[in-house]
Amino acid sequence: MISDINNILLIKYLRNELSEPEQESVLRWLGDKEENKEFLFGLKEAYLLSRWEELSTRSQAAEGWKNMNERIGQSTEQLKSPRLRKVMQYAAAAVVIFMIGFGLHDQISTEKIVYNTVETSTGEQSTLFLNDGTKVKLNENSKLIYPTGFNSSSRNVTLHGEAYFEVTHDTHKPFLVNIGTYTVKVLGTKFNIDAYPEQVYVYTSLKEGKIQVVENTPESKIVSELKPGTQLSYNKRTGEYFVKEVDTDQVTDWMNGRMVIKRQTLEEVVQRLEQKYHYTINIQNLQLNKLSYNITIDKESLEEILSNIHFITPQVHYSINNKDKMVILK
Amino acid sequence: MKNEDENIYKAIRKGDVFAFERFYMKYQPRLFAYGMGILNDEEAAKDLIQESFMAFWEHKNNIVTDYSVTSYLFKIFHGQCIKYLRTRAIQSNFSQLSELKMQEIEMGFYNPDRKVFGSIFMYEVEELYEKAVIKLPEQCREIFILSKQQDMKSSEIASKLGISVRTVENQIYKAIRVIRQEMKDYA
Repeated sequence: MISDINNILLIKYLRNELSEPEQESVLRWLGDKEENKEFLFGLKEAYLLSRWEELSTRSQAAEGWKNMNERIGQSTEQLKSPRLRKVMQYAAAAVVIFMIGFGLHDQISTEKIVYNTVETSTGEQSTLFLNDGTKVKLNENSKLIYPTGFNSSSRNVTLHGEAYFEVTHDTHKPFLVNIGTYTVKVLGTKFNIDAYPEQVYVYTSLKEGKIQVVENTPESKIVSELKPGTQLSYNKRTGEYFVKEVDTDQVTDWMNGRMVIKRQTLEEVVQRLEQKYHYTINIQNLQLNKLSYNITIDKESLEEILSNIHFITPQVHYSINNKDKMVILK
Repeated sequence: MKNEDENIYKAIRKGDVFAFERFYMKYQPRLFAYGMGILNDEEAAKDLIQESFMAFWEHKNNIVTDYSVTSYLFKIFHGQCIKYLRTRAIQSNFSQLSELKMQEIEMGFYNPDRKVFGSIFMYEVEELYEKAVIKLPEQCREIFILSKQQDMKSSEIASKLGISVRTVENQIYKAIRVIRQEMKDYA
């Protein structure tokens, strides 16, 4: 029975002040009945809960995260090294330009805006200069829609995917990048937007200058203003966002011709590797398809990449047949 | 709240470090509170938490969520605690046998394979905390707050308030029971 034990002993137990013989008697009491355990441990939870404020401070989560972040970084770093001499050469991006004309039905305006679309496929990148001097570097599988000439009040472009912008300064004409989720508003700066449609999070990172991220609503409410060296991560599903410091050089790693695979499944990674190394790669265990990876490939051999994949996901085993240019993953 | 966690988890699966950071910041303190109850060793608790999150991250692609992501995390941590306590039991030459026995019993009680795996820290702790502490009768709360927030010994509280040690301890006991009752209503 609960009344068989002294309250004082219970309190001492909770506060870890039991002497050895007292400990023994609490143990004996606990062994008597299952309900005694329910009671005492329930009490203990209540006691811990009551200390929540103190404990949650003492846990030093921020410090713990810093340490964790480094450890995670190291395990992905494995994939990047060894970084060898020169970066691989990209085939010149075959850029497809569509000319799409839109006649404006506005009676007053006689301005007719013609839009261009630049689209890159897997493995392609493209650099383009807009007629205001702004430079845009488009990553693979991305699309930029922009007018051939900007109108008098603003400069509007639409982006799907990832691009790095160096916007020519013009105080009177803000440069607006609409990514569907939100719009990035700038006067003149350097920044990177990573907004592939399949991602839950979209990222805007600022290298120089100042930008505003504004809602795609008629009120154009400002979500956030970024300072150089920071990144806004925005969750498209929940609308939650946060800003943190980043290494913007790392964010724009993809521009240096390295093959950067971000958050892709093994199935997708395999397609990329097949294109790059001209091997046929078969995944024999379908369960592996869903594994996801971040990989930066500089000049590593296929075998190095495979061994790194095995390192981070030991369940993936590989065998290479160099004669027939075949790889089997299982 | 559950859905929010599941969404974060989806992003974590894709290797989203930012999502993982949010997950970590939310649950690290909870694991710590839970771990302190079992281990009563701040350093050990922190170390085991790091190992648990690391294991979570490394296995993020293999996690099949029959149950919630949260219980999965607690399960990993629980396993780490058991391993740690067993190793310590062997190293200690059983000099603190009763303490070790006690911890074994506690670990068994929180075994995730039990039908109801319940640590209160898997739930919305902040909300619960507010609710429970507000419910306490006044004198009770005063004593209680002295005992936990300022970490005063019962005898110190007794002399400060001019009451007997026995009263102090009974009040603390009462406070905990009230909180316990609140927790039951919540769950």
